Amino acid sequence: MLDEPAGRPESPTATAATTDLDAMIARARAGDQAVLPHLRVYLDDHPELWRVTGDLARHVRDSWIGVIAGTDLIARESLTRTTAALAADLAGPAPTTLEQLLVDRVVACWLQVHYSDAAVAQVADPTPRQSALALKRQDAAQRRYLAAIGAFETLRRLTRPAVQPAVPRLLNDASTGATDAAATAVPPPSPADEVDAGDRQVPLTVFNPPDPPLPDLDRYRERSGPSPDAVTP
Amino acid sequence: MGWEDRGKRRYYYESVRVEGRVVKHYFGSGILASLTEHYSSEARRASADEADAIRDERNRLEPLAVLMTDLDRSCRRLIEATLLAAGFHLHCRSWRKTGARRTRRET
Repeated sequence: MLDEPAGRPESPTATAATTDLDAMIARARAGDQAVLPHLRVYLDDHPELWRVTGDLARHVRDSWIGVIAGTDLIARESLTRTTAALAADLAGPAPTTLEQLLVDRVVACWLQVHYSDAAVAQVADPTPRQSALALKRQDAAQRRYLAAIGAFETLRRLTRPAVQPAVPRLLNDASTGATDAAATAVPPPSPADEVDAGDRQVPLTVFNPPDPPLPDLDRYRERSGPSPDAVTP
Repeated sequence: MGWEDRGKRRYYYESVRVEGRVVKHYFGSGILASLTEHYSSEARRASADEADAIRDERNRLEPLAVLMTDLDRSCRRLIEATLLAAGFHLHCRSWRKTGARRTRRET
């Protein structure tokens, strides 16, 4: 069962900050560019916004673990470790606060999906109505999970620079005939190359292999004799 | 619904709702009445058990559903604020860098 029956109440400060933030978002949505600097400062100056949501995400995750494991302490410990490992894998080496928050949300959704899957499979002697409800719950959990992953991926893609793999070009250069790994390594993109995100030109490492040499047609003709279609002047 | 006394004998009736009206079905007092009563009570018990199971599950998951909805809303708000502050805007449900097209054309 849940440790707390309802959501954790937000502090008055956090509630006020949320209201202000909503107002700023509404203005920014309406195209008010002047609000953007204030929004940046506001996000930096109000850590309670992040803290409250972070606490909520962890609380949700722990609640799901409680619901799934019940009184089984081994299962609880196992799930706690599994989710911690999953979160660490997703977050990577240096996650931002928001990334960490979204990772916790993804993990919570992952737990919900697994609970729903198990519920569909484990309902003892289900009636059609119970089966339909379980399937509906499973569907909703799946949709929420995919949405959480999508949000996390979008944030990562937009706010982090594209990773440039330091893969040297190990192709034979036809002109020199040499394999020059260091000289042909693709340089990282300049900041000027970074354009918008919607139709963003993702800087990819594009390999342009040299065209293969054309077959030696003269030698082929000498060997096979004159073509019957050839017209002799 | 059930057994009703008529004089010295008892007869079994079941009331059902048909097109908004309550209609009584008569099953007599013999073996058919006993069997009908037995199966009806079984069906009622199964239906009550099902409703109990659904209610229990809902009571168990309802607080979590509320929390998940709160979490979704908070995350959406913070993502939107962060991306707006970073100079993106939402266009047809996808985020784009504000003014990037103009910058590209100028360059």
